[in-house]
Amino acid sequence: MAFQKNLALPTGVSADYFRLTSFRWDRSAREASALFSLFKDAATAAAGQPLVPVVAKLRLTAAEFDAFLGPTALAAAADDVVAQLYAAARETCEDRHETGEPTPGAELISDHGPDLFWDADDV
Amino acid sequence: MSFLTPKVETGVNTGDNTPGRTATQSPRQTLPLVLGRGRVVVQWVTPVLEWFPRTTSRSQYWFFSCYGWLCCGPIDEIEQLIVNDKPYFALSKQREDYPGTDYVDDVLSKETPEKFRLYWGREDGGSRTAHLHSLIVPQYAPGLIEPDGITIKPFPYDLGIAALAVQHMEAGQSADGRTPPLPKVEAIVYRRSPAAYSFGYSAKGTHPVGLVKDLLTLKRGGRGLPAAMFDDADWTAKMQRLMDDGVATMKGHDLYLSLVAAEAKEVDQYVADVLAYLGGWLVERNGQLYLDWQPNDGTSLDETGLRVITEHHLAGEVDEDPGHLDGVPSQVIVTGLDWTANPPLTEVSESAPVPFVSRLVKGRREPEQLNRPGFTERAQLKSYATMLAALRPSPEASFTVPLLRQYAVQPDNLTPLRPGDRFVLNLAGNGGKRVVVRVTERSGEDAVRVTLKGQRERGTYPQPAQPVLDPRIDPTIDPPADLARYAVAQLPPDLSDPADTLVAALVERPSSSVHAHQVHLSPTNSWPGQVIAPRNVNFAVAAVLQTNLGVSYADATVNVDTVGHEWSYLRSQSALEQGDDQLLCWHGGEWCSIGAITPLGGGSYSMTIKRARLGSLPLAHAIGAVLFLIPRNDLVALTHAEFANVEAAGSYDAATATKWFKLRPLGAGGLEGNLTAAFSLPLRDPTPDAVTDLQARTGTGKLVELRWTKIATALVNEYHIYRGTGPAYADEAKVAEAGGEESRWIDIGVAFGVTYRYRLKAITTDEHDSAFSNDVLATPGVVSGLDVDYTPPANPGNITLDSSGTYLGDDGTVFSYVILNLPPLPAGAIGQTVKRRRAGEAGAWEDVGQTFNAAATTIRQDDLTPGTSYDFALEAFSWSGVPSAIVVPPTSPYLAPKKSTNPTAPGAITYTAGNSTSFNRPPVFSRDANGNVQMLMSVLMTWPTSTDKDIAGYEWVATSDSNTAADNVAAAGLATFTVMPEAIYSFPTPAPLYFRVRCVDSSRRRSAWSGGGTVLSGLMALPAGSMSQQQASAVAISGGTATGLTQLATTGLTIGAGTSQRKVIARQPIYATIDLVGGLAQETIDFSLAGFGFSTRPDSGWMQSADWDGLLIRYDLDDSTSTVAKLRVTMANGGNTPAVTGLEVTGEFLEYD
Repeated sequence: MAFQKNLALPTGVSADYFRLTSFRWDRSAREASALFSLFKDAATAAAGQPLVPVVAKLRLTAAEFDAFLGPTALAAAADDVVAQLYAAARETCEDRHETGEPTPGAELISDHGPDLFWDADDV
Repeated sequence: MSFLTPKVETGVNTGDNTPGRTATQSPRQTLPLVLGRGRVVVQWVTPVLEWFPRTTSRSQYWFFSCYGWLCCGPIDEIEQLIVNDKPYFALSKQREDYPGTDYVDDVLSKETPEKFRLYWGREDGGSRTAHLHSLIVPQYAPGLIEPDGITIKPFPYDLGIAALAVQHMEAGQSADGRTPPLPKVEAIVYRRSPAAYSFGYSAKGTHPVGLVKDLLTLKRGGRGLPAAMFDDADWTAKMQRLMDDGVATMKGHDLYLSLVAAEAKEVDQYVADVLAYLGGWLVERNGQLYLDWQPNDGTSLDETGLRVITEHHLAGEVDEDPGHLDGVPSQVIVTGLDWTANPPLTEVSESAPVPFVSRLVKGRREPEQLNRPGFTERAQLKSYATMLAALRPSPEASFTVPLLRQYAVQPDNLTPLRPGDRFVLNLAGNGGKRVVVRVTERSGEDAVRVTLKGQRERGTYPQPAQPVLDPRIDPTIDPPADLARYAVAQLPPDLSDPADTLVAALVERPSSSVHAHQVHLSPTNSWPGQVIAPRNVNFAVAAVLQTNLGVSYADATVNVDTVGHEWSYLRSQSALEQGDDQLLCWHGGEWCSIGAITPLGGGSYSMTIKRARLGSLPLAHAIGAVLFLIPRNDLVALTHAEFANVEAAGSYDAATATKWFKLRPLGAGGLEGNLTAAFSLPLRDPTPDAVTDLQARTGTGKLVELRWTKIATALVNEYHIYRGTGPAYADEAKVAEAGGEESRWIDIGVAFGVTYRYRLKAITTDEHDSAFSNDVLATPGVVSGLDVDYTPPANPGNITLDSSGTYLGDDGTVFSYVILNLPPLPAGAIGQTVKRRRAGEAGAWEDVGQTFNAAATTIRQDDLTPGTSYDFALEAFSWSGVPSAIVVPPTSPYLAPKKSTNPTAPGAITYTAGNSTSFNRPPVFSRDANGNVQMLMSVLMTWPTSTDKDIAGYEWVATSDSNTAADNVAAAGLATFTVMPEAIYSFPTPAPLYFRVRCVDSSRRRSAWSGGGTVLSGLMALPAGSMSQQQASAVAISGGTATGLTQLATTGLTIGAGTSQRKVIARQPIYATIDLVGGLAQETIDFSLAGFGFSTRPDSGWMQSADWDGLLIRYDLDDSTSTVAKLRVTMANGGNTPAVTGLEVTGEFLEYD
């Protein structure tokens, strides 16, 4: 599970493989944070060597947390937290791209824009 | 150190109550020259003019009138009278309030009345009799009256001296009818510098430049030099420069000082003292004196109008003495006379440490001690010491420049270069060194040459900021040490990328002061380059090789010593698996794996290394070579588009392929250390050039010998040899493989009289092919078949297996390799061909190598499929191309190895139960998703450390069911990985839970689960009716599992494996300077965060300026990135922002996960 989208880095190198590499969630506080790494490509990702260790951060709080990681949402997603985080990242980026406005409780933080994954491919 | 000290009580009581008595309390001494603030004692210069008593029934008080000198005039203010060391009367009279008058009168006490008259003194001297005329009543001073009864005798002779006359001042009681001794009367006075009058004075004193000019020009107390010797406009400009730019970190009134010149020493010495305070000098030019000092405005490096000296102008070698460390002291101690002390003018010292000096000189240095001229206060001494200390680490360099005489002049070709002048020294060809030198000495003159000695200009003074503001400039914090052992290495294919060239910096941490390092790149060795790794926190460790290593693929056991410190990774690794090795070794282009490590004590180790890891070829390494050891996981791959640029005009070019690097250590808070010297790394060509000099030779028999030059610029693993014959050589096919180290091949499978075409391809270790080489034609048979010696050579000996293992190709495919021991050449043979085929298939042999070594040798065979058996055989051949029999060793076939063994399961688990706070967990009570209070219990699990060598860590899960559930949790990626043999698990209620742990090796093979037999909740002995039981009933708990997660409560309470602790990714204190354009209601500044290690924009940040209280700096989160923080600057009072350059700001940025 990953996102694929070509991205040129300031060093002149381009890379295209985004993978969720770590996440944190707190059901009591209803907040989650997921870190995405950028790999040169799928083969490099298999070796575990990111070009950019943290290229984007997804944060979900309150209602947005419930929408993706609440008990109902998780049960519907067969408890696949990682898949839910990918889905949340995708939806957050799409909303941001369409409206141009941030969604309260769902935020993607990246130097490459808050809608980084809106046009990425699922791989 | 000595300055004027006030006179002390003489203790003489003359008992002479005669009016006109000599003022014995005022022995004559040099009349002081006060510049700035001074405390001077009144020297009574007349006899006591009047005594009269006041008698009561029990006592008799005496009063007197007298006149005395204070100091050279004029003074501008009198602040206080001090009688017998006690403040007597605060006056605060300012001369400018009494324009047009020479004196001021006041009444000290109305009882007598007690009066005084202060004469300010005058620049141009005064009337001889003016003072006495004014105050002294003639009838009380009959000795001063001329016989005519009117004219007062010309005494004291007055030249505008500041003077004090008192009338009816109390002298004290007298018990025996005699007059008491006169009191000691002192005055605190101010005097502006006459030369710098318009710049005023402060509590600290007066203008130091004016002070120098006063000392040089004043007729009373100074040198009295004529005005013609001074360019007034230049001196005024210098005074203004001191106010505007100052000296080093101080300017204006902060530099003011007071001087009371009364000691019997040369005026020039006073001048020298003040010049030393400024770090200044006097220079004479065209009969005039000029003052200058190292400027603080950055203009001294301006070369405009300066003579440029090049090698053409020299009369010999320029001698440069960096010498800046020789004179660096450990601290600066400034001593002065503190007039605020009690007793006054006590000698006191203040010191300041010189920043970084311990790092710079690596040893103890004596402090620098100097005196501050004039009277002072402790705060001034401290300030001065701090300023000087901050300047000391700034490097200096002195030059001795022998010049042809005609060039030792200013650009007008007329005015000689003299001390104080500057010139540009441009030593072309010496690294482009071009410096501005200030002449300090003109020596060694003769008819043809002049030797100038000078010091390099330092330009703008360093601006040391307040050390309390930021740790990076705190001199008490060690700056990062210089890097000593480091390298940049090209990564081997399995750690690299098939389409990209990656390198890694191998840096040993020199000391704990270094927290990270930066990698700078310049493709052309022109600096500054580009930072390609701003903050790398992974370090290697270096070791010195104690064993010679020849060129071989065979394993070797080496001794190393002086292995770097602070490293816990020196653990034995599996010697078998190069694909899984966790500890790598690199030197001089060869990557090796590490096997068993045996400590020998004293920092020495014996370690087995597996030579020439795939992607590198074996190289020779001599004793003393510095190896770098680094865990594979700590390798940080660096790349840059420039790394792909290794060719010129279509083929590999060594100059183009050589890239240049510098490394910089980073210390606490991002404090930057010194860059290393530039060093280079020649990158290999990922696609090898084709061989261009293939040659074929025939004539000795039924064979064709091929020779070529090895490709050295790429990592060639093997050469594939192609042969074709017939029409258009249409049947061309690969007939053999030669090793990457080979440059010769003999084809004995040929027929006489047939023309063959040969050509070959070079294949790199990561499977890139070169183009075909040039082709050559060969026709064996120049001798007839009858002339060929058909005697075959003796049969070769048996191949034996040296070692074997696995490795990862650059696409992640697992391959096997074997290293074979080849026997010596048999009798009559000139070479042996290694043949290979899959065992059991009885297919054709494939020629996979040839050796021409007479002695036994080894050969490595790659690209084998793991788990497959291969036959290897040897065939010798003679000079006539006659082969021996193919000898298959009895030990054949060989099984290409694969890793198939799982690690051993962990041993018995020890459980320790407690409440959640027993193991530093969060508080016992928390709220669940519904807001209900729940009680957390914890269990600590420990198990024995695995004895397997190849263990990466442990994986554990807590489940409510069987091993199957544990596998499900692990498969979902929700198991917790730990490198330590312990785990703590907290859970809210006593639900039935089981703990299981298993070992994970470096290739992620896992052992069987251990544990599971103990119910964690059963470890809790809960008393009836306890809080946790009440909670258990408050939240309905039920069992049941779901994939990957454990469903505990019907309320939807779900426990996952994620941690809830918010983590700080980066936290950086900031100390920087910013520039404001000014004149805006809100100003936006792009503040660079590059190199601070933020991954995305910081989540919070603040900044403030200590200098501008009203300045509000807001961090604008929305528009910021990981490298640029948007700062919005406004004024608290709503006004426009000021125009400021170099405004010091401090603050902090913080990034969470």
